[in-house]
Amino acid sequence: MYRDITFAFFLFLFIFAQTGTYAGTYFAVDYEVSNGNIIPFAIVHPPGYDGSGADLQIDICVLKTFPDSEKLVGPLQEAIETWNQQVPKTGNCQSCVLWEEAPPPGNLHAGTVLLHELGHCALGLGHINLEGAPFVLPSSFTKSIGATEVVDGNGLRGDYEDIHQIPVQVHDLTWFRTADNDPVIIDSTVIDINTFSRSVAADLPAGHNYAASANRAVAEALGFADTQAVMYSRGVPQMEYSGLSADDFNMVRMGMTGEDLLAGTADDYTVHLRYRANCDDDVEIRVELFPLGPDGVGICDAKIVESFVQGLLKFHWTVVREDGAPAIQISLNEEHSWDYGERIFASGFENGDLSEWSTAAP
Amino acid sequence: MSEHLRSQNLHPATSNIGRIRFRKRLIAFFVILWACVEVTSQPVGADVCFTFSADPGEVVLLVTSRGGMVGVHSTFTLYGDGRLEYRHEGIDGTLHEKYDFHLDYSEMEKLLRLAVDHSLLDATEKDIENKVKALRPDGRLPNITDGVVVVFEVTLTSYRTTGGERGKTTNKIRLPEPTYLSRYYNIPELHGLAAILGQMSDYRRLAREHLKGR
Repeated sequence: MYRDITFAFFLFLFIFAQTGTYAGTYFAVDYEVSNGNIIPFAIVHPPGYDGSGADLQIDICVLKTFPDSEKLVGPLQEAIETWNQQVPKTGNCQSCVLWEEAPPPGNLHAGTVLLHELGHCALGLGHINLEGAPFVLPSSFTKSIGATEVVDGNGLRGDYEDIHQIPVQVHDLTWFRTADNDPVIIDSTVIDINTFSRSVAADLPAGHNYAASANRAVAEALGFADTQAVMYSRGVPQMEYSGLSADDFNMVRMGMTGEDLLAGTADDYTVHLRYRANCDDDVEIRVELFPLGPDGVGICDAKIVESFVQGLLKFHWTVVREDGAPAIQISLNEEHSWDYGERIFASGFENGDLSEWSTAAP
Repeated sequence: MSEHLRSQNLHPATSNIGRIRFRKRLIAFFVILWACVEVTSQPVGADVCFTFSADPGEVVLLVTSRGGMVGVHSTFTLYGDGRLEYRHEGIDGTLHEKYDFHLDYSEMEKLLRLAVDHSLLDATEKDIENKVKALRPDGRLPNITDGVVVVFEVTLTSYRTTGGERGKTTNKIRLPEPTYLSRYYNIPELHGLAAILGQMSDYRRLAREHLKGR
């Protein structure tokens, strides 16, 4: 009888995983699922989330251990402001390069890498694309776990036509809009479990094979040039994000619906990042330059823990610092020559998008 | 772009730079003797003597990396004759940078001794991972997002410890972000990898500065 109960439990989990439960490209979910530590339908929340509806304030400082460390302050403040504004946009990515394309020469933009790493460490987001193993090249296909092969019917990787081949079971990790599976569109749709799903098996629009991924090529095919999620796993020289994509925004909003996954209820929370000038203060995240060897660029060092006591199925997880570390750590490689360039105006002045500027004469 | 640099430009304090040929047994004997004598003054590691090939076609040390955010990787290949080749390539195989250095015997020995003294000839990835896990309350490996995996491979022609002598020995280790991990985990193998990577970064930096200064 005990064996029957155990079998039923795992059968339940298998079915539950396939039919509209709650997971997505959240931080560390792929790692933890691959190691058998958590269930695939987990949502990861920013540091400090404990299940209550409240404003999460996340303090971030720059550790000034190297002469150039001070130069990180400006790009970090800009990245913090971008996440705090919570305004999605199209045309947010200049010189975006996919994994299938050759990178240009030059220096990496510190603000772009910091924006991405804050997405992991401060907002609990994961990558949107398929990364494989260290010796398997990443790609622009939509993220999943367990697919032995991803079939791309039309030459466009990460769009609705891809098929993730199932040997035994593919873990679907990517959230999508159930109405249209469009990862870059911006409209008035309220993001919660009624409009957003992870279930490829149950909730895709008719004719769609898989969740579409917010990479530049897919966005272009959908009518939005130079648009890409900040949480795409590649960062190359000259590449710069001027804001969040809809996908980045939607994933944060989904987390903000709280335990019940419904928007507009008492357990919803907000999240606000704050720059602190002093790392001696009690901060959640420390940013630094650190020698990462010849090829490292930037890393987020954190782990996830259960947000609050839950039953057998633990959906909600929170980003926390690693054991023994003073804080969650974002490190940029001190050995690189970085582009620390700050834009004086952050509202489209440089790229000609004046939609945020008033046309009325003062 | 390829730049051939004499190692004296990298180490101006070294007085007599050049290749030392290891063909004669007498020289090889003194090399072994010298390497063994040198060991006794080392503060770290067991009583270890080693020799390495002088064959220009033989790779004695290979350090490279994969993964990370950009999709370019560095490969440092040290050959038996002291030639150290640095290549910086994209994942599509495009060569971005290439330098050739020449290390003399003492520089090669110093580099390989870092590996020997930090047990990198014997350790496996699993050994090191288990040591990291043992130091963590949750008993698991850390998840370092966006990091690179470093591949380290060393080959010695002989390797003698208090436990006995071994002939040709090759060891290969792949680890994520060893330099970063060495900061939090006091594990000799991680410190050794970090030191070797640091030395490789120094060579590359000196090469770039040398080119800039021309």
